[in-house]
Amino acid sequence: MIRSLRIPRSASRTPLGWVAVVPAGLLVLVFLVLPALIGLFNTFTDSTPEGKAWHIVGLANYRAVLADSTLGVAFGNALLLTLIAVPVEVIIGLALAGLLRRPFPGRSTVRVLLLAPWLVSPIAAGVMWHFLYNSQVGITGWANRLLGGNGGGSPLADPRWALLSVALVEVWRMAPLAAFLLLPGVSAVPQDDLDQATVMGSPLLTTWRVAIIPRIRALLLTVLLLLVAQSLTTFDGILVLTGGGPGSHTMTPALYAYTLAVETHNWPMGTAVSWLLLLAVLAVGAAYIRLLRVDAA
Amino acid sequence: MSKRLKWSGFWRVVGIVAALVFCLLPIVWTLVAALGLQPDGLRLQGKFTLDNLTGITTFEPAFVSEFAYTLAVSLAATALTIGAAFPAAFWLARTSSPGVAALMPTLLVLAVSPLIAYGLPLSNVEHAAGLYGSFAGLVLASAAVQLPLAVWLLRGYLLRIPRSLDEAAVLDGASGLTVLLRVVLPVALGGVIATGVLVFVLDWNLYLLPTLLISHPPEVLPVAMRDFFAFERDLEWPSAAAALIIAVAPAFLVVFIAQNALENLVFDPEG
Repeated sequence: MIRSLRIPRSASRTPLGWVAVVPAGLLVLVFLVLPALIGLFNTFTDSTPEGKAWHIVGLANYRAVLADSTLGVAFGNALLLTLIAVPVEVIIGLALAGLLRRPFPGRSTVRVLLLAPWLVSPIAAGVMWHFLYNSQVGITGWANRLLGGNGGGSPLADPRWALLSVALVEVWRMAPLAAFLLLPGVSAVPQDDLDQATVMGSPLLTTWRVAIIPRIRALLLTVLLLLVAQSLTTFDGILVLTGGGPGSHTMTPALYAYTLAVETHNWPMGTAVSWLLLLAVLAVGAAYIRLLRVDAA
Repeated sequence: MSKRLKWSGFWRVVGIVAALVFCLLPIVWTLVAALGLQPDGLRLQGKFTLDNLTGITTFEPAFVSEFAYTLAVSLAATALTIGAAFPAAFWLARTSSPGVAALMPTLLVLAVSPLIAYGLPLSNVEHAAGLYGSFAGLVLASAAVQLPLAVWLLRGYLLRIPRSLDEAAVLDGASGLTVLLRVVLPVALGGVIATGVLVFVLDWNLYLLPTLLISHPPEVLPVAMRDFFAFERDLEWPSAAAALIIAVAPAFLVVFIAQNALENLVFDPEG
């Protein structure tokens, strides 16, 4: 009797067994992992999609892209964009989650509306903000005229403002999403913990540091991973907004890889740049996994 | 104390209103332009009209077929992603295999990896497999791209469903597939819908993947929009605004319909 119960119990842990992961595993292996590895191999060859004959060229592609000054500019821009956009997104996200923490009538509607900017695709957001930054029909021109100006020019064409303007579009799309994702975690912090911090007389920032952040650490790290990877790999929005210009003031590694491989048909260099970018994201990912593990320990 | 509370309530309202203006002003600005109106000082100028919205095919004749093609690709890819992710997430939620703990954050890292790194060679793979430019080729690739995130999200939901539920069904002699579809799915439906909606939006907005995998036509909307924008820089704002409003409408509609499910979205590595 005990025996007959034990067998279905152990089987019941996974009704379909490991067969259940086969479709998902196959799709990911064939369409993601295999192409990524082929791409990695390609970076050590001179192969192109059109050419039949190819040779191993060792590190020549990497030497070529590292000698190219645009690559440094592109990675510098991505880093700057990340350093500007991500802290702003996290602070807005946390602040909004704090404001929406306690229930009030209409809170669920407000929470869904936070998703609105993210629902606009990066391409559509690019087209939209191209016009919103326009001196005649845009918001910046309207505000400039309201303050007595003549509309001004588009900040996207100004080398000093271009990257900041791109960062603002990024913040517009991602900060409300961060708030949306952080809200359940922040709401779940028990009121008692917050009251205790308040009784101790701690000002707002200390309450966050002592009572809230430690409780949502894993969630916050996960949102950070999403935001950092998003801004490091920014591509479609910039393609429409500035095309990387003026000059290379808003060039990013993903856009540079795409330009090299697809537009100038330099396939080996394009894949090499895209793998350098992937390595940067994997390094961020490794840091994330490590920090999560520290969290669990 | 009550005075302090009153003030904190005041600042809370100010903050929430400011956030909503920040989120929605660009979209409302676009909607107003699509309806033929233009802010001038503190008033709206122009005449309300639906002509920009209804006349969208005059400047983009293929708009309707592009819209339909994007919708078909996104729906098929979402169905495939969820269909493959659900059983996988269930196994990962129930197994005690070592390595699952390490696999889950790795899936998330895979989900945020730059598409360009595998998208370029993927177009070669699809050429070699005869899938390049086909509906199936785009659907399979899109489904695979969203799979890591979908599995990660769904597992978070399935961990919350008590084990005893499916264990009891197995004891009653139900087959694996029956347990999954008749016992677990109804309980996990909210999570499946929330995940499906996020995946649909991501699919609907894909740009780089279709650019690399389809030879136009037929084009998907983001690709058509970018091509049009790149080659017609003198595009009028009301026409562009109308195209934008129609192009974002399906994502808004889906989220609006599924808002109850999205309200319970769990985005936490600890489930």
